[in-house]
Amino acid sequence: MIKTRLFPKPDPSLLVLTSLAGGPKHGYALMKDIEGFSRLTLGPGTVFGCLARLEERGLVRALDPEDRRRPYELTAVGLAVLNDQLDELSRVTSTSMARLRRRRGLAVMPSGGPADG
Amino acid sequence: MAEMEPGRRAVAVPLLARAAVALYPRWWRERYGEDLLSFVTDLRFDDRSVLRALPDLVAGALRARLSGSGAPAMPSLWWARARASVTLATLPAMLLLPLVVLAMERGAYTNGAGQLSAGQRLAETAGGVLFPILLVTGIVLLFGWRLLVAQTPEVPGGAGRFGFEAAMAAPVLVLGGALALSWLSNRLSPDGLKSASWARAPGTHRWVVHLTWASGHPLLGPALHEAAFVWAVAGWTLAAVLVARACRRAPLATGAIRAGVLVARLTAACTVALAAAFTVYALAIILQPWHLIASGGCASVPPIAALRAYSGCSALTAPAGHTVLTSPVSGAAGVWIALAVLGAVLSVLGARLAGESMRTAVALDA
Repeated sequence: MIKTRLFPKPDPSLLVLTSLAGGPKHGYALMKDIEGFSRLTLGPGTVFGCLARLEERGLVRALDPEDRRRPYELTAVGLAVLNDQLDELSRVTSTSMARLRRRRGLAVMPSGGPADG
Repeated sequence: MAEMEPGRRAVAVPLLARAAVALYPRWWRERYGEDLLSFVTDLRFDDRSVLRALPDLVAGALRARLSGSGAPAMPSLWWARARASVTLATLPAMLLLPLVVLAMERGAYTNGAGQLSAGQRLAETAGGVLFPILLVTGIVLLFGWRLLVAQTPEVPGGAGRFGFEAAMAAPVLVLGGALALSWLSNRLSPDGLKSASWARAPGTHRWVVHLTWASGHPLLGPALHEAAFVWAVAGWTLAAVLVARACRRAPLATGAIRAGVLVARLTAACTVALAAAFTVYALAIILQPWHLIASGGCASVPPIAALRAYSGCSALTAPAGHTVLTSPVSGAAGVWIALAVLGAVLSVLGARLAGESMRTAVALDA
């Protein structure tokens, strides 16, 4: 089994946008949520670095602080950008999965090739 | 709605985490500082390692400082950023200059018809190339700072032009003082260093150098020699601090910052050339066959110890038919090279940031 990662980890900004698609969250809640669905732990510097970049581009906005912690939510632009990004990704993953399934199907067939019917 | 858990404020933020947050720019701390500290508090509350989050915090601070992403669109902030970047670009050059001058103090010990190897000739050539680069760097710094000072308005309290002039005078005083001490040291020890010998300190792994002075005062001569060195190092560091302070306190005059960005770019180019020639020189010096470096007066010193322990090797003599090049870089050469490369990287980074920040500031002003 190949243990080394061939491809870079998902972009933290995409993870943050995905997490915020589930509703507004503050920094720590974002980190825990991302850890839950991606098994990647983002540090505070990375989380707030992403939030700063996304806020600058108008993709997220800060809400009023609650107990000193400011929650962030997706803006309409952020939602559209996330949708576009995921569309692109899903085209790649669906093609990749379909081809993998076809290969697996071929692999379990008899050695003589596809069944004659 | 946001996931909140009340009662978390009871956990204190560790000092190291506060220090890491303090590394962020002020505008960042004003905007995200509380959020960051709350994040760290939550980490502690959940019994997670705050120490493990520290490198990420520090890296985040560096990214925030370098990219300026999310910084408010205030021209004064971007001009201040350009000013700080000019300091970042020029200070490494100022600190590298004395190091390289010190490294160029090289000698050759020839015993008989000693021929230089190809590597030794390369060291000689690189050492020769270093001199004009040093000269150009000095000229760029001197005239560049003059240009910058001319563009800086004077303000009450001496924070403007006067601060720069004091900072520029400091290196001259330092060099003058060091030269005077060296001259006095030589006067008191007319024949200078007579010999140096090595001995392992009893019961330790440390090698000790015993210096013997030919004449003059047995203590005062060597003491003044060392004092000149200490004066030069301490004084030069102080001069660099003065320059940094003057830059920090200087008023944000647009013309001065434009001149500063030009100086930063020229200085960065000089620093890169300096670091490249110096690296070649240092590598060629330390890649001489070890038996040449550790021969003669240093024969009793193991080669690795000779490379690490004593930089001068003044008592070195070459074996018959060989020439040995000596230089202060032959001791801890890796550190010397790392310092030169780091200086060049910082200088280039500073020049790039200065240019970018100035462009943003001009755009915001417009």
